[in-house]
Amino acid sequence: MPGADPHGRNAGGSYAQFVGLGFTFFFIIAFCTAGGYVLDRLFGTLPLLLLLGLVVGFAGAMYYLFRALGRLGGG
Amino acid sequence: MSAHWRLAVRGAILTLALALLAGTATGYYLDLVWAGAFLYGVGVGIVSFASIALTVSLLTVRPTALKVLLGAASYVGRLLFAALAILVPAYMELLPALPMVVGFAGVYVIENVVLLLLAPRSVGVGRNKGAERRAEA
Repeated sequence: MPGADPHGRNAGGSYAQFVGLGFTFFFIIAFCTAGGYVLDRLFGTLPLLLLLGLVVGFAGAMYYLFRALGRLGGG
Repeated sequence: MSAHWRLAVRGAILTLALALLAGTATGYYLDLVWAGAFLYGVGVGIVSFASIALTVSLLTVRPTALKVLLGAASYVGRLLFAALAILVPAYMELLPALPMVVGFAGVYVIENVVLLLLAPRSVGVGRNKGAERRAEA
C-alpha cells in the first residue's frame, strides 16, 4: 500500500495529524495575539495586551502541543 | 528512506512541478518579479511542509524525551522560519507580498489535499487498533 511504513501505519495519516497539530499551534498563538490587539485598540494600551496575548498564546500553544503529542505517543 | 520522508519528497516534487507551471504562466502573463516572488513563496512552503517529516521522524521513530522535546521545538522553529522568510522580504519591500503569500499558502493547500486523500485509510487503521485494544482488555 502506498504511504504505509514498515510498522503498518499509514504515513499519510500520521503526517496529516502532525500537520493538524501545527495548524492548531499557529492558530492558538494568532487568536490570542489578535485578541490582545483588539483589546489594546479598545482600551488604548497598545502594545501591552498584544504582547500579553502573544505570551499567553505561546504558552497555551506549547501546552496544547505537549498534551497532543502525549496523546499521539500513547503517553 | 522512511515512509514519511518518501511522502514529503513525493509531495515536494509534485508541488514544485505544479508551481513551475503556475510560475511560468505568471511570468508570461503578469510580471517576472511576481513570478519570482511566487516561486520564492512556494520554496518556503515546500521547505516548511517537508520539514514536518523531520518532526514525524523525531516523534514516532524510537521516541526519547530529548527527541520529543526537539520535535515540539521544531513546530516553533518552523513557525519562526516561515514568518521570517515571508515577512522580512515583504516588510523590506524586496518582493511583492501577495504572490509570496499565495505561493506559500498554495503549497499547504495542495499538500493537504494530497494528505486528505491518504488520511481516511489511517483513521480506519486507528479505529481497528482501538477496537483490538479494547478486545484485549
